[in-house]
Amino acid sequence: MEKLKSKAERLLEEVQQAEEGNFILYLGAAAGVGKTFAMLSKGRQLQQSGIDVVVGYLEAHGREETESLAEGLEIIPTKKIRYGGAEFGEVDIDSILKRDPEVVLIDELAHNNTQGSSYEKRYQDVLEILSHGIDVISTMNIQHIESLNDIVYSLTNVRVVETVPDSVLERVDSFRLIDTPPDELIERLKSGKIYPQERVESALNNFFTEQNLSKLRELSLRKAALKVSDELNEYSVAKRDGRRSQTNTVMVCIDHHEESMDAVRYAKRLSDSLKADLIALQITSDTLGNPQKSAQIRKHIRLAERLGATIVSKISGDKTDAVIESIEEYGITELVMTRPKSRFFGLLFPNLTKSVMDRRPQCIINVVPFEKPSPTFLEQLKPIDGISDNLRYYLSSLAMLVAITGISFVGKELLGIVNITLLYLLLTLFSAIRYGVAYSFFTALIGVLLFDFLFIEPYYTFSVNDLRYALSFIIFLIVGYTSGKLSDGIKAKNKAIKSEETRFRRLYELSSRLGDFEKEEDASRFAVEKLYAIFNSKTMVLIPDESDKLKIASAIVNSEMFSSNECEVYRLPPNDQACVQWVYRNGESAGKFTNTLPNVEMTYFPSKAFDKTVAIVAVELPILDAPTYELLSAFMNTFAVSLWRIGLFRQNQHIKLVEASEKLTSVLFNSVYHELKTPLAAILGSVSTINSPDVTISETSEKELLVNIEESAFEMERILKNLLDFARLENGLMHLKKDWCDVEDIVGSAYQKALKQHPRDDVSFSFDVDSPPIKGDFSLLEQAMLNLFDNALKYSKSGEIKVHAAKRGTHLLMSISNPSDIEGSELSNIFDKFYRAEISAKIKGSGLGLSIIKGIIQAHKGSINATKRYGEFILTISLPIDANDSKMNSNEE
Amino acid sequence: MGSILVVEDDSGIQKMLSISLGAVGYELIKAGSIKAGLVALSQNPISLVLLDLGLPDGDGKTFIKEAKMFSEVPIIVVSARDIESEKIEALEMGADDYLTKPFSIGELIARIKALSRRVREKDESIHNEISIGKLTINLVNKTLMLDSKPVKLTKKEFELLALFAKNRGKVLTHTFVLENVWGRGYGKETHYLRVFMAQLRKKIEENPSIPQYIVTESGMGYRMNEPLS
Repeated sequence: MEKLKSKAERLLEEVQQAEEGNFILYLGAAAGVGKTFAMLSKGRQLQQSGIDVVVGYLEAHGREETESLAEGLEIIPTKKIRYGGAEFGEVDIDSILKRDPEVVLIDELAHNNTQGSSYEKRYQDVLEILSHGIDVISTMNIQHIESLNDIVYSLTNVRVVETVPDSVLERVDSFRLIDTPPDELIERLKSGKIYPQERVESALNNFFTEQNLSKLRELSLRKAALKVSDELNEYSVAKRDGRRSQTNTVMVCIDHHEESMDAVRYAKRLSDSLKADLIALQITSDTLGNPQKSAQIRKHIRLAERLGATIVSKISGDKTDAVIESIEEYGITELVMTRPKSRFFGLLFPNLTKSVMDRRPQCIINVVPFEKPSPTFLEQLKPIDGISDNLRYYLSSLAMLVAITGISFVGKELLGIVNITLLYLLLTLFSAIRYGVAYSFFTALIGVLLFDFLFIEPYYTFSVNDLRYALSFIIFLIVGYTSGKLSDGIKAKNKAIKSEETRFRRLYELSSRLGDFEKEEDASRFAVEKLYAIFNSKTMVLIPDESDKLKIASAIVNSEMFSSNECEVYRLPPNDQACVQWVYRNGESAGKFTNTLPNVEMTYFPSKAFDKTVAIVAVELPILDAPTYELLSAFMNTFAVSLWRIGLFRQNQHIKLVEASEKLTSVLFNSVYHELKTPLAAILGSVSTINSPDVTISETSEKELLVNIEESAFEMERILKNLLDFARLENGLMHLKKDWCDVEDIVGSAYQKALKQHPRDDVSFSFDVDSPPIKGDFSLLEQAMLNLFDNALKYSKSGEIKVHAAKRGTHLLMSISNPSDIEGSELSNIFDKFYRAEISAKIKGSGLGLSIIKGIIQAHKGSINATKRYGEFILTISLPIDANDSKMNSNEE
Repeated sequence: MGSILVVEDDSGIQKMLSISLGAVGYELIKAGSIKAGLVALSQNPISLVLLDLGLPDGDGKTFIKEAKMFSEVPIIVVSARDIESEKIEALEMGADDYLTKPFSIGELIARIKALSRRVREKDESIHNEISIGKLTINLVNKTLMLDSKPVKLTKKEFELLALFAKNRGKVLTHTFVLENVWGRGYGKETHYLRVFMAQLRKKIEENPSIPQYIVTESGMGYRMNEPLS
């Protein structure tokens, strides 16, 4: 037992180790400090201790020392990717995964991959390799850390483009800081050990100044110290109370302004040093209708996500309110905002930061300064929503002003000065409600000027005699501005609510309808249609089949609908295929507007239920902004649940079917066994009586026995025929051979056959058949009628069996009635297989007769019903006269 | 009167047939294969053939094809195969009737009688008048008497009746009837046949729902019978 346990534990450890690889990162202050060298030395050292080490990527920069160190290590050739006429070598993940070493050395973690690679960034390659349980040793310079990006910029004035998110660094198991003093580094650079001689000069002048290097070195040392103290801290905290203490929460406000990026980065550093949670607040209001702004916000949100922030979206017409509410709601201790704009307009249009500060919230407010000069006044004025609308609003405001002025000027005496003022006020309010603050303010301003010029003494000048008018003008302007601002707020809120409503409505429509489908094809067709209705572009749904191969289930391409079997026609380009495979494998979205394989046509989203990707939805999007992303995410969830449900439903159906068929088989065997055994016993008994030498029987008795044998034999034949028909019907093997049949003929010949088998003296027949020929299978219909008369003759009480048939529209209506004791309550069961009515208990039969009749009638697209009325058992059959008629589409031949 | 040739490989059926048909007065010649059957047919005066389809040296239909090349002997197929297409095929190849196993011996004897009477009459002379039960069909004047009373028939109805009368006891397939009465190219127009047959039956049958003269052979066609007296 003990042994078993330890073995299990060992296995568990192995499994856990195999799950994720170890990640070692060599961090340096600048190029040339010796990271690559250290990485290779480590690699060799591991190799010597018998570990399987390969080189996944090496940036030797032509340095001899480094290259000589790489000798003896296996190098996986890079994947060559052509882009813009040149060829680039990138980490070949597939080959590395195939080679499956224990450790891979990959240089330059921060590298941006060439377009056309499967990932945008090298760190993504590394993460994938790690996820396959392979250890990775990599290198990086300090300036590439995302959250330090702006600090590096402010220190060195160099903007680093290639950055690595902090979340990736958190994944690093072990940091190794490679420290080289700046003077030594410059010495190495000068001697050509870092860059080729021709680049040394420019490097020395730009980045490799002693000052820069010192600053970066300090930064690296600080970061490393922080990491060490973090680890110590975490260790001690974990020891003390088992979990990390959590008292501070940092919130950063995101808007469409470029400065948000810096604010987010600052907030990340702040939250790191405070060991606090980070929340990024995005306020949805007036930006919804503007794709440029939305895209910008989406970009900022992505950055925040990468830095590990929790994203909070608020819908509000008043941003200040939203911020204050969030501070209370989330218990924010540190708020990060951008600096208020100290411009002339800043006074008139209060900045969010300022208005939040004015409300004196219960938290520390961190204000991040701008890095870029703020836009000029002219840039501010530049319309954002497109010039046409703006201009139109200004012009119409102006036109109305002119009209009012004209009317007032003509009717000056009649109206009086007070009414004229009110007219201008009315117009200002109209502009405010109709167009917004800019226009109402504009109207107020021009209105005041016109009023002053035309109606206030001295006329035709902008000066006023009575200074009280100056106060009136100011009040007027304030009214213009505030009313406009109010109406703007209401409009923004309405718009936000409306757009949210539309999204919810669409989602609701989707989820309420998706529950209806029983087949994947139907659900996916519906999903594709809905997505097409929203985005009006190429959409498709891919569903994995039994062998895990992804197939297009439905697609709309060029406004044309393709269902599952037509989709073979449409093939995805190879890049998209790779993308689909990636999404399916990793369960994350990829394609256009994402970080993975962004240069394909469409964006691919996994539809996941219980962590299993059940479908992939592809949409050709014009843009992937925050609301779209949210809508699609919700859509994917709903769709996944629906598919999951369909899957379960089908499984259930299948199980039921198998159960039913098993039950059927056993019932069938039992029934057949008994049914055949009875006449067989009669035959064998009679024959053995006749043949027995010990028994002497009279001639009449012998004759009786022979009749008995004959009847029993016919009974057996009948059972066999029924069984055959039944099997054919059950397996769908019943092929109708349709031809014109005379109904009277069918009835007559069936009657004759039935009478032959069950002669009854106490039953008479009456026929009332008036029908044109109908199209059907004569033999089968005759068989159905034969079974029917058979039943009637067997179960009828003495009396008359009445057959009535007549044409009713496109159908033949037929009724067969006979006096019977069958219980009305049994009627619903009589068409079931093997059902035997109470009254039939003493009569031979398989219980298949009526179910065969029903099968035959249904195969003719007809229907059959049973009723009991005035002691009469009535079967009503309705058959189409010509089932091949255009109205009744038949799928026969 | 010649013998009945039984081409059948099952000894049980052979024994049953020879006893029961022998008891009625027929003389039987037995053959267990197509080859043996054809030899027997060519060497003996045979008035009728009972043919099984599943024979050791091939499909019984081959026998029909070969036999019809040198003999006009009526053939009744006696087979367990209960498939419509098979029946039609056998009939169109020249078989006169098709009986599905199991069958009652009474049914078989009735069919044998019906067929041999036609052959005998045909042998005697060309008839201008055919009498079946209460029907008297004059082929020259194209008139029909029922119970000595004239019955008015349309031209097509008479042609239909005459065709069945001339082929008494033989099962006529729909295609055969249509092509002989309406002409080539009408082989699939079963709708005509159903309509005219219903009209004809109303004129000649006592109860058209339970016809006595021209009976329906389900899945095969029609046959004209001598009504049971």
